Amino acid sequence: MIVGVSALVAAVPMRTVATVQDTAGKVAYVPKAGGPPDSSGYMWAGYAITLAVYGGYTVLLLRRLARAKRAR
Amino acid sequence: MSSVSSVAPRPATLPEPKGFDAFLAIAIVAVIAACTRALFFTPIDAMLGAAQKIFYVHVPAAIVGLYFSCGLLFVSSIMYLWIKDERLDRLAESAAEVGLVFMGIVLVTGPVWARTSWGTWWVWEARITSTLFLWLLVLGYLVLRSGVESAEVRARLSAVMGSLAALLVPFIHLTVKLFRGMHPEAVVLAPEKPKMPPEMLLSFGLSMVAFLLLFFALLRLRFRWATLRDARAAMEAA
Repeated sequence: MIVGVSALVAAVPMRTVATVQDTAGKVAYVPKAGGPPDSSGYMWAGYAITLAVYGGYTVLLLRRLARAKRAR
Repeated sequence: MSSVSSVAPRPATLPEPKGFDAFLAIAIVAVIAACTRALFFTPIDAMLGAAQKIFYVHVPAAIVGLYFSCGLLFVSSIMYLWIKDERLDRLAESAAEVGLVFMGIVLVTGPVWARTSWGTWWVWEARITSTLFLWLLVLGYLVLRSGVESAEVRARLSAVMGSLAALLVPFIHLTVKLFRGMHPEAVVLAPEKPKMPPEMLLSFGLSMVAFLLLFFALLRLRFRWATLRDARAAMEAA
């Protein structure tokens, strides 16, 4: 089966497609050529680091308190 | 004015630590809700792309870490030098440690965002460099505390260092005005009005409230642990 190049391009997930905001429509954001490159990987990395640090520090404090309680 | 003892009265028994902290639970739920709204229900910035959403954790961490925790460190350190109440020393210590975590988040999430918007992880410009210096000073404050044996000397020295370190905050605030750098000026607290659309402003407001709650919940836990630790030390010394 021969597949046209245009079909292959359309099948690629839009992970690295440039993006721009469509302010005319109801949806505030749609992927569109001409905008900045997709940076969602950095966004997820930023949130993962943040939640891991806050979560880790909270666990550390709770463990300190639990140890102090056990040692009473 | 009545004379104040340099050492506050010690408790005869150790304070009872509570099992479940409702305030901490509320703060954690608020942080999860704020992050969910920022990630899934807030529009993506047209110019900066998805990485701009780091704004909703980076800026609240900066405001809480610099203004709230360092403000508290300054006030409690100065108050300790004045009235010599050891609870103020514990408050300063707790504010410094929790603030160090929040400022650490600022210094780590900033480069992740900068990599996409500036094309580089780090720039040695005034605001970023002075924030790193403040983080190192607060780290030094905590290291100093762990290196002094005498409780009274430790409290006095660290109160002096803590109040001096916190004086860097107004300078950091003014760096974007005083120096030409890459870090943007105030977006939300702009003099005329916030330079953001209402959906983004609401997400930012929710994040700010959530991270403030988390700050006070962690501060409360840290203070409670310090109280237990000092009470134990006093009982062992007696």
